[in-house]
Amino acid sequence: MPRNVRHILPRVASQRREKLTAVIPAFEEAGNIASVVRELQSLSKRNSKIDFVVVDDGSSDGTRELAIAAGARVISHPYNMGIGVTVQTGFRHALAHGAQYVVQVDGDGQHIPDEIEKLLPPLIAGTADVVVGTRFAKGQGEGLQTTTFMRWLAGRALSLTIHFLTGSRISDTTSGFRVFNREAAEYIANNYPDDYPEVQILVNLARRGFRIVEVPVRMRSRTAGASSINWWRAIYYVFKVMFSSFMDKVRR
Amino acid sequence: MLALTLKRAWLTHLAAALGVYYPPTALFLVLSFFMIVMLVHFSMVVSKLLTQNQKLAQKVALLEAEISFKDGADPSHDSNAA
Repeated sequence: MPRNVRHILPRVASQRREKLTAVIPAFEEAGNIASVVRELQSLSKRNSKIDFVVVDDGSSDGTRELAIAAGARVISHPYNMGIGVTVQTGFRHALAHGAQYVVQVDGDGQHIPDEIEKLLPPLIAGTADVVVGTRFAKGQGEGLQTTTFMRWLAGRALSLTIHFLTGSRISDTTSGFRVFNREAAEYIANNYPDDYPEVQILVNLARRGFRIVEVPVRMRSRTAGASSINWWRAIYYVFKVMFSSFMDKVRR
Repeated sequence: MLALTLKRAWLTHLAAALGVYYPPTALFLVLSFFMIVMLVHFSMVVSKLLTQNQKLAQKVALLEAEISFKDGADPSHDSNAA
């Protein structure tokens, strides 16, 4: 924690235990979940302010059992309800247990838990409400190998859409690796779009005045299983987000 | 609907008002209109129920988790069996 910002912000200076809860949404991630859990365990052993919870979205491949066996706390949906509700469940749990910050770490192992601490400083300093871990480091070519060309193209389109709608510059709009402060997390716990929510939620948050910043992080390719996004869905995704965002803009 | 079926004069009148040449077609039109209204209504009801059901399931999941965390063990029943 940067000591120099402590005296500037009395809110932070109070010796409140700033708990961070990592929410791991997982659906059919039997191949990845155990290693994600292990990584988070070693992280929370090093940093006692960090804990985590796995939210199993009604997987049938034993994701839940594997996560429990690995020693994680698991919340399991009785049936599959989609990523939106899954994240929301995790956030509600985290907030109910007094988390000051909530981070989403995907259950597919793409997000590297050790990078969480890189995302925290803007929140602790109070200069942002949401920090997005981005694959596309500013001014650096690296990071692109973790994504395909189609995703990159879709990402550019979404990034421009968001810039047009909200004025925020976010290069990696589909990154699910995000830390929220309590206020932003509360907003999400109550309003989270259903399908393909990553981009939509950024638009919604930005429009409600939450400050979003990006921090470059390392990410991995999937280690097992297939991505839920394919070519056609990517195109649908781009148009859906553009459409609903424009509708949102028109409506108010 | 029934009235239009029984009172052919009304139906003829309605058909004329709508500019429909063959009166039974007007009846069909009225029928289709009500069907569409009902479909939209059902669609609204279904999506409302879906949302409520998801909220409920979410709550169940959260409560179940609370219990299992308190016990320090996982609930041994298989929630995916149903």
